[in-house]
Amino acid sequence: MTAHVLIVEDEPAIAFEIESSLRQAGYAITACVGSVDKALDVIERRECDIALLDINLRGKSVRPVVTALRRRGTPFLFVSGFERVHLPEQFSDAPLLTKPFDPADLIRCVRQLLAQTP
Amino acid sequence: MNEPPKITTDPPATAVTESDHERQLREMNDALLVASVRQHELAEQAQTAEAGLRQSEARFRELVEQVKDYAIFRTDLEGRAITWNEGVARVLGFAEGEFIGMDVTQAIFTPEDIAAGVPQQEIETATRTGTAHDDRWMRSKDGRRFFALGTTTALKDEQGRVVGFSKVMRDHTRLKRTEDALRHSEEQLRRAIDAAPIPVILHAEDGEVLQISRSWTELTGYRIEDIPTFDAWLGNAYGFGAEAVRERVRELFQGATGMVQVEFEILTRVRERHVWAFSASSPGILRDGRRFVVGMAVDITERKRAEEHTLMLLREVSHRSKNLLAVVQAVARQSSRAEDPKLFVQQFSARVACLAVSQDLLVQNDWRGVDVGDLVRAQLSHNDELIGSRIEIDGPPVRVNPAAAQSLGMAVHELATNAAKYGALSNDGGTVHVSWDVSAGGGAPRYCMSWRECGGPPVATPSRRGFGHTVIGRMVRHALDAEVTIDFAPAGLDWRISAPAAVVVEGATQPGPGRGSR
Repeated sequence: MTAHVLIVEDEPAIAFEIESSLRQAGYAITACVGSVDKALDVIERRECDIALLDINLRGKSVRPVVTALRRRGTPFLFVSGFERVHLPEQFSDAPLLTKPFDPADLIRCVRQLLAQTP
Repeated sequence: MNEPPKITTDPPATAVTESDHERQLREMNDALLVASVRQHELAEQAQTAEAGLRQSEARFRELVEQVKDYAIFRTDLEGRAITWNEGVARVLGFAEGEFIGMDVTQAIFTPEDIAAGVPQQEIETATRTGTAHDDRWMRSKDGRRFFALGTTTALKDEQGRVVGFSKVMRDHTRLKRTEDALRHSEEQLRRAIDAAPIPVILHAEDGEVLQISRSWTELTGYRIEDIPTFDAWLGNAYGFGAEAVRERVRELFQGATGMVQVEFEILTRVRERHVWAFSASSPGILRDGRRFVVGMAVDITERKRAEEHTLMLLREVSHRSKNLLAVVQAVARQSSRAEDPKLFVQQFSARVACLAVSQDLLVQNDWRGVDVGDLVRAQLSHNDELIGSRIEIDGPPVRVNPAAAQSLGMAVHELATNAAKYGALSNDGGTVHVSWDVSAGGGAPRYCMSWRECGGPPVATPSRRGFGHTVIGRMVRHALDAEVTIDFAPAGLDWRISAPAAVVVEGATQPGPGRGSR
């Protein structure tokens, strides 16, 4: 069964790069959105297996998205320019892929994340 | 049994701590009284007043004359000298002959004291209480001023009536000067600590606060009475952290460390947190045997804040540069697909340069957004000479946020590249009209922008959509929640976007990414 991935990233070049890497690896994209509101809207209306999240979306924290995903038990991965030590405290134990990243690492992380899904 | 002596003296009116000189004076005074008493005893014993008095007078003289450092003499009720000793010559400069019968008060008090009625006050005090202390500047015969330490004692007859005065005085000038210098130096130290621009505390090893600078109380908001002991200070300012400071200061008293230097967060009286760099050393032992500590503090709250701000900025710079590298990486991957390597390198270099142009503008504006006009002109700098003639730029001042600046900058770059290659800037007569505006219309304000070409070679919809098309279409849509229309009209390309101003304009309700917050 093809896994569905939600991409939450406000920088379009990076968002589309993630999207095309995942498609090439055989994953389906639930949605590729650039704001907290749109991400919450997608989570509300559509199913996704995992989510890839930028931490800062147009100056807003991704926190509400994290809360919504945790409520649903959806695993997620941060893709961020921040090092782990600089992550906001409530995110510090979540998986993190730092930018810039190698697409192969991205796919590896996605695979690990999917292994956690029920 | 003889009557007890009738000449009496009252004890000094006030008990003060006795200095050595005061003690000497008192002893001298007692000696005088003993002599007076003795005189009367002798007089009584001799039955004949004349003989007795002469004898006692002789003894009195003998005793008094032995003393050279003290002027000792008696006066009558009017203040005229009745007796004289060597000390009078030495201290006051008067020979016996000129002194006896002289109005002493007029001769030895300073004109200021005479004008202020001091001699009368002294006589009144001595008459009323028995003794008057007269420690004051006086003058000797040659007009030299000296500081006198003296006592005036009322001499009374059998009926208790005052019959005259005895005066004892010594030149105390040198000691007075030393004392004054010492007092001045102590005062100077006290004031130096009091007005020290950085907080200073002096406290003894048992915790008693000896002195505290005004800056200490002003910076912390505590009053002197809130800090009677070092423990009270610790309790007020540190709460749970007090024990650590107490331990360090204990080490200081135990001689484990010569100087303590620690940074602590203190709480002011209004519960504000401040960072203090606290240094203390123990300069020695007080007169009462207790060791004492001088502590000084520098409020480094602002410096700490600045350090944190710098760290935050460095993190932010690192974060931004990594994001930008990720963007460059993504641009490279996506624009490399199905294009020949030479063309790719050329286009990729131009795209990286375009990103750098937008970055420059953002940095120049301290990341507080970029004016659209500046952004468009900067991205069209290759066609500088056409601006104003074939390229018309038209729009009000609008400051767009950093994310929008990057997106719009890339879009303008791709549009200009396309125009130079295939569109209105590829021949000699075509024109480009770039315009933008923020429209309030009905509902939320929107940012609208257009790129319209005219007069170029006939346009056809491209058969293949390259990365340039992604940039001016999907990417603008994604980054700015924009509605984008791209019309490959035969007369010229027509690109229009309309986005919520809140997403595009700097300082609007939804600020661009990367400003301070994470």
